[in-house]
Amino acid sequence: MPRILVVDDEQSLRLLYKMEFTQDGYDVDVAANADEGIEKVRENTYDVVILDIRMPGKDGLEALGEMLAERRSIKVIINSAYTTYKDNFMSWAAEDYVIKSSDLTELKQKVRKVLDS
Amino acid sequence: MPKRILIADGSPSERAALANLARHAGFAPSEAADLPLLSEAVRAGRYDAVIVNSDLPGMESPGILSEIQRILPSATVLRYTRLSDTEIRIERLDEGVHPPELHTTKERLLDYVKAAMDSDPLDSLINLSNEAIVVTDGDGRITRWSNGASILLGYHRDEIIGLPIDVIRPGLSEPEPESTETGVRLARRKHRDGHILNVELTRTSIAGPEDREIGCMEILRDVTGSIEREREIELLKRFYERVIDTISDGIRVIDAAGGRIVLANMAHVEWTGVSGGEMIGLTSRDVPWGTDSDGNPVSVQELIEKAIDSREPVRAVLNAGPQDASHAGYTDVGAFPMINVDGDVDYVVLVGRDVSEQVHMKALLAAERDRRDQIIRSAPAGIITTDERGVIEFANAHAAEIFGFTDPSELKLRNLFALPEFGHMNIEDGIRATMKTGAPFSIDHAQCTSANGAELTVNVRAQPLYHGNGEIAGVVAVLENVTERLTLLRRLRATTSDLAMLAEIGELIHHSRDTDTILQAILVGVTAGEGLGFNRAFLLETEWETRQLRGKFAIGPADRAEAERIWTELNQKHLNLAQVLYGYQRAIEQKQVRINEIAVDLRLPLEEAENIAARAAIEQQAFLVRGDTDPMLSRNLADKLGTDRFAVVPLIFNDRVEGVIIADNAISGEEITRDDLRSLELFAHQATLAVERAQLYTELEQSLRDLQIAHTQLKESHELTVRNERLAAMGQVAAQVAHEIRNPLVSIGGFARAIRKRLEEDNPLNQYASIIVEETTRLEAILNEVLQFSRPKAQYRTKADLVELVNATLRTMDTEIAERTIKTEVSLPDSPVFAHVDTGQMKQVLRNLIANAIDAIAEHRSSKHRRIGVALNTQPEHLILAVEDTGHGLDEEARKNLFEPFFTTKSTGTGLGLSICRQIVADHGGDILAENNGLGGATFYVMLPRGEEDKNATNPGGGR
Repeated sequence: MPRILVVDDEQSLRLLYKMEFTQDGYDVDVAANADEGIEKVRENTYDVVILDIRMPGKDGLEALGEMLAERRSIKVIINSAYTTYKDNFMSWAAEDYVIKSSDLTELKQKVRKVLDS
Repeated sequence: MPKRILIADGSPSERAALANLARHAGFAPSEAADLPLLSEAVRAGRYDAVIVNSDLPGMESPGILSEIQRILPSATVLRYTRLSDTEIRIERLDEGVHPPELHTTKERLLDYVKAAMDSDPLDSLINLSNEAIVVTDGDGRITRWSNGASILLGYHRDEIIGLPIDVIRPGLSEPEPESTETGVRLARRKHRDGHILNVELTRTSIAGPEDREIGCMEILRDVTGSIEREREIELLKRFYERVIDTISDGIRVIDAAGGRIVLANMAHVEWTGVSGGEMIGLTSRDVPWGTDSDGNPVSVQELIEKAIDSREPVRAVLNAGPQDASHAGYTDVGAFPMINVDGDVDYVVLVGRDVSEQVHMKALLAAERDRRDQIIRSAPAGIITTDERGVIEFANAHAAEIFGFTDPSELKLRNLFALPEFGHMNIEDGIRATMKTGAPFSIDHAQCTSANGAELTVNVRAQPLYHGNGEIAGVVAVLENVTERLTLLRRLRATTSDLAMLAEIGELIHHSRDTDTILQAILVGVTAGEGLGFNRAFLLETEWETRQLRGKFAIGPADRAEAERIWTELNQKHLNLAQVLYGYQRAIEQKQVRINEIAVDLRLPLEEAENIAARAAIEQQAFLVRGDTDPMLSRNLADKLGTDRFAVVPLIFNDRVEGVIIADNAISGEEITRDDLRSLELFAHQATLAVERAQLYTELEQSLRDLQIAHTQLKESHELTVRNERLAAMGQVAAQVAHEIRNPLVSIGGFARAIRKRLEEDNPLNQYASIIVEETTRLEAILNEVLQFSRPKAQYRTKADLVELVNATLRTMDTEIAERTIKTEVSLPDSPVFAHVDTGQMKQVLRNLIANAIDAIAEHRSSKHRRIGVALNTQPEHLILAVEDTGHGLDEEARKNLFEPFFTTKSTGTGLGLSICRQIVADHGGDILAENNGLGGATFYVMLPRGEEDKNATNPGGGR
């Protein structure tokens, strides 16, 4: 069963993503902030990390850097309400960049694509 | 047994000579050549006498003799000094008595030694002396008498010893105050034969126990002869001194060799403050000849040296004055060398005279003369003096100018009456009368023409000059050139009236913007009685293109009959200039002005050299033509004007000759003066200024209007800026809000979808969930638009085929179009059309325009009105993408605000779509616009510029 980590400060979104991806047959883990996400990545092995950027404290781009330092091979998909971070080269280290939408079709497609590669 | 004598002398020959003498005198001589040998000899042997030459090195010390005496107490010890080849001086050390100095001869030296050894040393010392020495005891009796005394006073020693000293004194008749003092003084002594001698007496007191005088020694020297000579010289000197002291010039005699002042008179007090006597003996260098005005000493040394060197008298005026002088002093000093029999300069006599007064007076006189010359030269009038025949002796520059000469010296020695210019002045008789009778002569405003042709008006005043004997020696004439003053006066009068009229003309011109009216007003001014008062005036316009002067207007009567009619009418009606102008304009319109008809036919080529009007225009100068003999007059012009006497002045506007005015007095025949010409010129100038001012006023009005327009534009531009700023601020707020909304929206929509999935299709709740899903989707779309507007994405342009781009976009919208039963008409080129664009953005633009078109036709039911056309057209410089619809078209407000953000005619939507389109197209360097089409709907055109490389890769064919 593929393991997914969702890092987002919005509790409702964590709940939504956990429900949706669990239903789709993923083993879903969640983290409420960057540090918790990094900690989880250090302790467990995930196939994909869905990472929000704008979070209180450490932001997603910083977390991405630390996660990669922890695990060179980790696959991360950025999921943000902002398009602005696309211009930040740190975001290019992620496998993909998906704008948040209530329609999760695109996000799910991108997760599948990462797992298939 | 012979006495032993030791002779110490440095000179071997002298020593030998003395030794020989000693042997002859019965001595046994020994010799010592120097002080060590002498010392050795004294210690070694017993000598009865020792004589030492004072020249012997080491003998300067007086202690040597005492030392020898101490070693040889019984010996006679003496020192001798050679005074000349024959004379010597002997000094002897003796107990109790200081050794007197004795003068004797070398030959007698040995006698003296012998005597000294044989007897009382003092006796022999005195007795042998050539000096007159007289010694007395305490009672005044003579105890010793030298050989010299015998020679001087005639007594033999044997007869005088024991007699009182009074024997040799002049006697009771001439009592001498007995001085017991030791010293030298003059005294008188009596010779044995009774005559009295003047002597210099050296008295030496001989002290006994307790310093009591026990006797005295007198040495007498005969000075009788020298005293008399000295007295005579003294008297003579005093006489001369008194003589030169009476002279007020400073006199100084300098010893040429030593440079010392040997004589100086009293007058020196005046310069140096020191009397002549005090200066004698000082070096001339130390005594300056007074001080200069700054208090520095003035030396005469140079003068003295010059006189000595040149052996000629030398003179100089020195800047040195008497000490108490109030002003700078001067002294005329002469240095006269005195040449002695050998031809050498032994003295220089300086004679100095105070010449301060003379120098001062001379300077005053020169200054006074300069001042007088200055006054005459710079006097604002011509001044001439002549002799009794009229020959000019003096003339200043102004006089020369009046007669037309550049240099006053040209007038000198010429006869005043022979000057041709003078002949025209009508003053000859007057000046001749002055010369003859002495009566002063004066005349005002005499006319004359100077040698250079200038016409002058001169005021003349003449006065006689007298010889010392009262005869008339000539005249002095003062000529004052008043031409300029008179001209100014006349011009001032003319100007005053001109100005009054000009004010009125100016008023007319000011209220008129019409050039013709202005020019006519000028002509009225030229001819009006209260104006310049010319009979007639013509105005000719310059046509620079055709290079000719063209007649425009003329004013004035055509002949005498008309003149009388007009002038009478004007006199009766008392019209002002404005009324005259109005009447004139009416008359011109009705072609009633006959001379105006002449004027408008006038054509004068500018190139005509003999044409005075053309010259006035080209040279920008006024001319006065005076009759048919005037070389400046062309017959042609005179015929046309009907007169050969007129004035012509150029009219210059803004540095350009716009025309000329010709004015004449053809009717009255009154002469036109130079003043009239000047007035006309001045008037023309003032008139043009007035016109220029009027033009400026018009230009100013135009500038004001331009400014107002600029101001309005600026205001609009400012409003636009403010609005754009407001929009930018709104955009930022919108973006912030959009981001904040997105997260809750995602959860709402996400959970709604989740709910919907779990509900059966026929469950009404499924439908409700769907509504939530759709609404959130719409909200998210709005969010995306807002975000894109507030922060447009960076462009990623690539070379793309627009044909393919249009097709691809249409494909993505196929379903949407089909669902609404809309027909599309697509017109694209057959081959690819390449352009450098951000394909994503361009697709968005096209999608947006098509979506708008779909919305626009939504309300139409008829299939005829449900059409959308898409076309791509290639132009040389542009690519034009057109999207047309059959919708409702655009009203005025929509057209104006179509591309403004947040403007929308739809009930839904953000109003940002077209705004974003415009932004994208503008970012590509293109433009977007919309217009109503013939189908009742609107057509949007997107125009993109074509890059060079894109053009080459494009097939220019195609299009609709």
